[in-house]
Amino acid sequence: MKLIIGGAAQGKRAYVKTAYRIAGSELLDGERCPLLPSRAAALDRLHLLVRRALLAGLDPAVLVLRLVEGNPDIVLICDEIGCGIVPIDPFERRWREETGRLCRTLAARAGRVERVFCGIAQTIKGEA
Amino acid sequence: MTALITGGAASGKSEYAEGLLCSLCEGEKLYLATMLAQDGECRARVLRHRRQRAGKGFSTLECPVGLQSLIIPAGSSVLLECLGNLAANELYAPGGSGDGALEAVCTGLRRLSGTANNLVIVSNEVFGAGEQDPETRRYQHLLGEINRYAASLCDFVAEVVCGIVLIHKGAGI
Repeated sequence: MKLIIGGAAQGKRAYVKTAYRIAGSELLDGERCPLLPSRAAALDRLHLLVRRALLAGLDPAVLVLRLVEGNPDIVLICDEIGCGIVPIDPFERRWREETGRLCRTLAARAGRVERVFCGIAQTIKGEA
Repeated sequence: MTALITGGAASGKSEYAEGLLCSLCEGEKLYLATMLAQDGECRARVLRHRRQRAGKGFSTLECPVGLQSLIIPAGSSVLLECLGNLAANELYAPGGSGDGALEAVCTGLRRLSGTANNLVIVSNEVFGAGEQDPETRRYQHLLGEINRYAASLCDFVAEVVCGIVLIHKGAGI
């Protein structure tokens, strides 16, 4: 599993398509894919899948780790949403914290973690 | 050694900062806690962090405001967590310095770094979203200035991202 992180609109999806040779049709979108997809080469907007899972009363970590077990080579793409001012709304706080914790778990298991900044990828774990 | 560790929400910055101080000092350590635990969510966070620190030789000193007048034993090993709370408390809480928040926190950091033998400071990355509210921007600017001042005092500055440490200053240490 590979984890690709970065701020919003940094070019993460475009980078993954090129660097990992993944077609748009193989790339699931966390905003509208099934909460527990069976097969996937890559999943974009993981932070939105986490949000939907929380809204549905499910544990996002359980869902995502199950997805990774079934797809050990999957590329996961997630926005770094924890770098703003602490939100006033409790659910918004919970969302960013659950996303942050899940990203730590995933980063610890990932063979490689890359951070995309202005379209440029930096390998922060694994071989460059 | 003096270190500044920053990161976003749930990035793993606390855990790393604690481990760093424990690697610098095996004995007694001082934990300067800055959070005003006003509600259940804050108390739960405090409990989680306490459990994380349990058995590692920390004694806790509450310091939600007034770091500039805090007296600690010379040669201590100190974990200060975190500048985001301290800045907000100085700016807004009763007993804080209000408009004098920047001066108060920076004076506190300067004195602390002069007294402590080892100092690890935790701060927050709150600069990633386009905040529009003027008061929120004021806070961002305050914390940004405090972080820059802290970084100038420190030998080692790192950002924790998804539990991974990215070193910005002092890579050779």
